[in-house]
Parts: sequence; C-alpha cells; structure tokens
Amino acid sequence: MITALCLPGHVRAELLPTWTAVSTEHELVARALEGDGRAFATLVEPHLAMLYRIAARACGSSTLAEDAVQEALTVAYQRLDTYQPGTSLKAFLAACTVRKAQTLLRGERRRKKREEVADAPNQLQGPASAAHAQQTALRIAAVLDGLPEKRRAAAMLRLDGGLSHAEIARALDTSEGSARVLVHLALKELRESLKDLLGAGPEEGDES
Amino acid sequence: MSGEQDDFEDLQQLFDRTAEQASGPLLTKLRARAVDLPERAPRATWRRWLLPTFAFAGGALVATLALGGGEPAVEPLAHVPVPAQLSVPSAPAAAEPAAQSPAASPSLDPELEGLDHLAGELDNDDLWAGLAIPAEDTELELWLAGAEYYLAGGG
Repeated sequence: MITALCLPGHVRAELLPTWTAVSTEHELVARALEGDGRAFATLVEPHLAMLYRIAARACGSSTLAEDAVQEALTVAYQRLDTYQPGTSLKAFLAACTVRKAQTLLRGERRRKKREEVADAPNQLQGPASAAHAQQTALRIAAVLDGLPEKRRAAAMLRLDGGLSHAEIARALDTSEGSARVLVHLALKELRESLKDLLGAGPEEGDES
Repeated sequence: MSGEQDDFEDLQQLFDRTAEQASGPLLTKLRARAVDLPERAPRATWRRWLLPTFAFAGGALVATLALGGGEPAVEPLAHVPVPAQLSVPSAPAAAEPAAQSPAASPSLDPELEGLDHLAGELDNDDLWAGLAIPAEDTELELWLAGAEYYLAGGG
C-alpha cells in the first residue's frame, strides 16, 4: 500500500483497483472461511449466471442445472480453503460446477436407464423461434455429448463460461498448453458437426 | 487466423443464442442459499488436523515396526542422514530433457514447452487434418507427450 501511494498518480490509478479487488476478495474469503455466509454470497454472486449457464448446457435440464449449481456452491464452500485469492475464483467455481453437473447428469442417466423411461424432451409452450432454439440446443447437446469429457468441459467453459485458456487450465487441472489444444479440438469438432447452424442468425419470424 | 476467429465468433453466437439464462428470481434464490451455506454445510475442518495426524501416526507405526524388527546394529533413526540421501540432483535431469521417453514426460513444465509449439500450429488446419488425434483424453495426453517429444527432436 505504501509503495502504491508513492507511485505517480496515473500509475496508482491503474494499480489500486486491482490491488483493492484482490484485497477485497482476500478479505471476503477469510470471512467466508470463518462462517460468514454473506461474504460467501458476495463472492459467488457475480458468477451465478455463468455457473447456471454452464450447468444448464451440461445437464440439458433446468431443474438439474439448478441442483448442480446449488451443489457446486456447497462443494466450493467446503473447499474454499484450497482456493488462493487473486488467482481466479471464476475458474474455481466453474470447475466445481462442471464436475458436479457431469456427476448429476451421469446419475440421472443411470436412474432413467433403471426406470426404462424414455427421456421425453421438454415441450416448449412458447413461440416457434423458442422451439427452434430448443431444437438447436438439443443438437449442440448431442454433439457435446459425443466429445470426450475433458474436451466437452473445455468447450463449455470457453463458450458458455467465457473462461480464458489459463482459467480453463486451472479449472481442468491441466497446463495452459493442454487447455489450448483441448479447446481447439473441441471447437473444431463442434464447427464440423454444427456447420449448417453457424452464421445462421435467429429464425425468420423472430421479433428483432 | 481471422477465419479461425470468425469460426469462433460464429460458435460463440450460436452458444449465446441457445444458452439457458438464469432468471432473476432463480439468481436471488441461489444467492440466498449461498448465504445459508455455512450453516447448512459447515466445512469439514477436522480434515485439516485429522488426516495429518493419521499420516503421522501411520508413519510412526511403520517406523517403530521397522526398527523393532530390524537388526540391533541399525543406526538410530535420528542419526540417519535422510535429507542427503533423499535429495535428488536436479542438474542432470534438466540437462537432458529430450532424452526422456514420451510416456515419462507428463511433468508440467516440459509439457507446456512442447505444447507452446503445438499451440503455434493450432490455426494450421492442413497440419491437423493429417493427424490421427485420439478420441479419448487419456490417449490424448500420451499423444501430446509424443508430439512434444517429436518437436523436441527426439523422433
């Protein structure tokens, strides 16, 4: 802090926000570790929408996605002492969510298999464009489903989570180079399989 | 590169269009649950001291058994120069990185160096088109190690 205050004004202005953010995160993590739920909620709140989007993509079900986020937050809290403030909370939470979503999905599939119940897709009551979006989402889900687990996770973290390669590497517990290759291979596969959907905007008849 | 970037943006837009967004009430509910988490799911702090304690006790037990069953001429444990025996010289290993076998090179730093070369070739579709990329991630790791070995001049 003293060093920062001795710096010229424009440099200080660039450094202080980062320093403050890390310091704040550090404080919030420390308070959360002491059992302060509000501090934990403040930490995770900015990432909840992203976590839900990843979970929904991974699970293909809003109910399951909600459970996945909820359980991922529980895991994240219980392992919060392993998180190093200032690295990437986004990657830490995304990693918990991807793993939990994939675990829940596997369990759900086993359960459905046991019950031998056909997995009827959710029928949308909305307009045709929404139904089309759902069909597209189902196709994407099918392509993602065909990818090996790490490549699938890398694709979702990149496209739904907006994580950088470094953050993906952290989330998947691998090197940044491996993360780059995993993302590249996953996106290549997605591009090839979804070629006809790329560049196609919203369906005609959509409100714009 | 711009073609690659365009493809990425097309995919990004496709994912954006089909992403399921959390509603405001859902986000509020998730946040409220996060506030309650410390009460509902307290962290297992016992693991912090219980696991090291078990590890230490186990180690002590093994050491006791080993010393108790050994020959009387064995030097007392405190006099055994353990650090000197266990320290591994790092210079020779660092001097011959390319001599390692592909299967023995998943240590992180060399892997990253090799992959930097690969990452530079990510946009070269012609190069990738000719490669038989493994379908499974476990095989991919070995494949990457092999590629790294090749790029380092080992092949």
